[in-house]
Amino acid sequence: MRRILWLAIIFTLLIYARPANSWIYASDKGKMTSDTACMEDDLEFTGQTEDVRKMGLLEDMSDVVYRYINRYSDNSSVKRSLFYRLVPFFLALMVLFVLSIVSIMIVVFTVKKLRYNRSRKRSRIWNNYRDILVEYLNHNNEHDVPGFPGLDHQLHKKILIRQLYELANAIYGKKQLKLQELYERKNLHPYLTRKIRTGWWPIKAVYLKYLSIRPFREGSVKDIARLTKSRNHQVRLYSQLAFISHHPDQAFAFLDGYDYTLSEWDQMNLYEAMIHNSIPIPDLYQYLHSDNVSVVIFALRLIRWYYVKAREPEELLYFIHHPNHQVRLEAYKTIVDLNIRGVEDIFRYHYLKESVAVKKVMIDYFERNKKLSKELYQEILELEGDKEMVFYLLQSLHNQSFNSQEELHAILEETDDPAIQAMCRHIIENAY
Amino acid sequence: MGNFFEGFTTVIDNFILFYSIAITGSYLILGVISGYNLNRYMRRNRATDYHKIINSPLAPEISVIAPCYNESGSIVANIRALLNLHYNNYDVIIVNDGSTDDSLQRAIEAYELEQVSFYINEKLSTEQVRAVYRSTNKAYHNLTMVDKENGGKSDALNAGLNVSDNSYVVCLDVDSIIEHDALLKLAQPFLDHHKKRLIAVGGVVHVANSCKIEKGRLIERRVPGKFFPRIQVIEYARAFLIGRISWSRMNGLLIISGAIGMFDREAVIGSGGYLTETVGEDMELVVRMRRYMYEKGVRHKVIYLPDPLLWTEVPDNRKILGRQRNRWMRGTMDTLFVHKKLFFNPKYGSLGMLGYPYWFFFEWLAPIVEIFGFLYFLTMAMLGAINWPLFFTILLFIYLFALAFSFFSILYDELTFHPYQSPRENMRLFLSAMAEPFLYHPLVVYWSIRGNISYLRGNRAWGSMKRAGFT
Repeated sequence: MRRILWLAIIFTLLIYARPANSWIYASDKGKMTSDTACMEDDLEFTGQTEDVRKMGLLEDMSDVVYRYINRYSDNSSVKRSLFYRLVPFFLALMVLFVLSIVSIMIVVFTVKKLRYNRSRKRSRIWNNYRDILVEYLNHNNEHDVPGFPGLDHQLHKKILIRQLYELANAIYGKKQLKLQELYERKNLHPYLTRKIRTGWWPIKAVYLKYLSIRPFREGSVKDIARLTKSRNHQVRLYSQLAFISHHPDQAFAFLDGYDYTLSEWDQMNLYEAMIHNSIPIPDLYQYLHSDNVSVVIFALRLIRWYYVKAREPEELLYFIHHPNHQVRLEAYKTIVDLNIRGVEDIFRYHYLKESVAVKKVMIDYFERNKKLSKELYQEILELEGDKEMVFYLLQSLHNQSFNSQEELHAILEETDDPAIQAMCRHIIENAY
Repeated sequence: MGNFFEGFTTVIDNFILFYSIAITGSYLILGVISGYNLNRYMRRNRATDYHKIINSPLAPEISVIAPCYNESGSIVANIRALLNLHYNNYDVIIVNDGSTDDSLQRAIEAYELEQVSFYINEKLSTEQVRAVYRSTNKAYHNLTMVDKENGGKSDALNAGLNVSDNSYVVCLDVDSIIEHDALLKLAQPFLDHHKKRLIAVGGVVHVANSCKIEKGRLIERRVPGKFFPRIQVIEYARAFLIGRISWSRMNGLLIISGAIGMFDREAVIGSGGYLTETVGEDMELVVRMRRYMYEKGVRHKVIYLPDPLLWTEVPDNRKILGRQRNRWMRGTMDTLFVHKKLFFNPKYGSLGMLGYPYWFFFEWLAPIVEIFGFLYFLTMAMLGAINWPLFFTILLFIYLFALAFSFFSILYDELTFHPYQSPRENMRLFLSAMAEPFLYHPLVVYWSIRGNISYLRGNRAWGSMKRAGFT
């Protein structure tokens, strides 16, 4: 598609680059003399001499338009107007618009045709390879790798790599090992690395993504460590995924001295790559000392998701004083999920200073440890003005235990506040 | 006298000329920026796998809020389509805005709904909520139906916002066809943005007239058979793929289409939710949210995705289309006047310095200048002061510009998401684009002028928007 666009641009440039007056000579020699004669009649208007022959298409058009304008009215005010003076500019743009319109129509129909042809060809190869792969995965011996017709061609290689990637994402075990065998025996690795080395960034990103799963793990990939700190976000992310897959023993080595921000999207992809490739959990606590806040957040999340206990609770408690709200929130969540004991008083101390999101996490902690009593509820209720928080508190109280459900019923009976009554009824009736 | 007349016409001529150059120049700039942005987006997304969001612990929790009013014929299928979206962490809130038909009853029967006690934290004031329904069937555990007194679309959306307790909300028209992966695509930018707080994301809306639809799902995409909807395909492509994508790049967006948009719920509620006294609630909300963010000193962003996320039925007759355009103009004026403080105000960044002035000069004023120019032309023609060859040269220039601009939007559509399969469909679009400046644009100008007059007369009504329904 890009080639077509380039062709259209080159075609347009060529049209403009043609020598002056060549339009008259090349396309309409017969009419040239009469046109030139007409022009010569108007020499007094154009103020030019016989040089008229050296004029280009735009000058010719301007001249014709000016001639008609002047023939219609010889009013000097028309000649003084800006519209009149801008006629050559309008004509130049009109030529450009006409060329654009024609080019767009050609491009749209050509692209459609090419896309149709290519998709037919692709689906034919895809179906053929799919049948071969099904046969190989279900019936053949691991080392009995089948032949794939036309695999010398780039398109065929691309399709096979894509199929291997999709299959490897969906299947595990022996069949995935078969895919790995196929990948090696069909010599796809050099093709893939060449694409990463020579392709522009969108291509690099796609092929780096392929490298992030097991069957593509074999073979070294030059420069992959360097690419994990690439300036291009896509290349950086997918090379990090590939790096995790290729260097499972030092999966997050690229986070040392990492200067970029790890967005939630990046974190999600990195975590998914770790899960998918069964990467051994690295020492996550070392990343808590990073100067990069996003790395600290990611480390806190991984500690929580992998349930990696802290050697000392202070290692995590330190972060509830962090100036960054997100770090504090993740620290609280991690403390709650790891169920670090004996932090109730610290939580109570910080409760009023924190955001709604953090407060909810604190209440989760009390609920989990069955520390939410009617008394604590009353205590928080006195401090809390936000109805959203009161509702959350009541929900947590209800979810804590069977006894606390009874307490919620008691609150419903005792309270005169219609809002709290409505909250209690909601919680009781909507409990699953 | 002669000198005065000449001086007067020169001033008017030059004003119209400079205005035309400014508007065509701005369109050209927008076209270039959107081309660049689309190209970059397409390249960036070659490797993106949206489905990873489904199983991620970081996937944001979303509430899909869909107001409904007298949708008896399609409510069941449309709710089913919403319940079948590809996303893990979401709930669906249907707000029955006092329908006078049996929409509510049909939904109750189809989804085994029963009335429950429901505490609503009324952060936004709305008309009274009569009842809240939830399903007894676990398969529909994420469906909530709110029945309330009629208060209009904005009021219904506010009620939905009160009921929701998720961090993000997707507000959409229940009678539209949503793409199954729309939530994944809308959620992804919220995960990927870290430099600025992302408060709203919109997606491209396509025209669904003549498309084949079954059980709330789009089966076959077709260019509409009727002229008006077909022209609107081009109009939407221009507005979304060129206009909004380029404004998204410049962070100057004033509007996220009311048909579909995902919002940071905290920012919506913080800024006061949807305004019920306006007919342009979608635009007004985005402007108010952004204003709120600027005034709080929060660096933020509003973006538009070029992905076609929703297919909607557009008016197919002149009367209803006229009403819709009239309403759009009133909504635009309302927003511009309510937030006049933004006008060239550097405190509001790109919104105040670029987005707002553009809408003021080229969205609101353009039809007024056009009609003024037309009346001026008629007067001059009657006085015999028109130089016809010059006039036709300029007319041809404007026509070719309009045509090239429409063709570019069709090209962008084709190079990005190519919604239509057959070349014949594209040919029909090209031919319609050729007819548009003569057969459609004058009507749009007329409706916009009527919108201006209605607004000045104090008309704030939505007007009836009867739809033919999908086949």
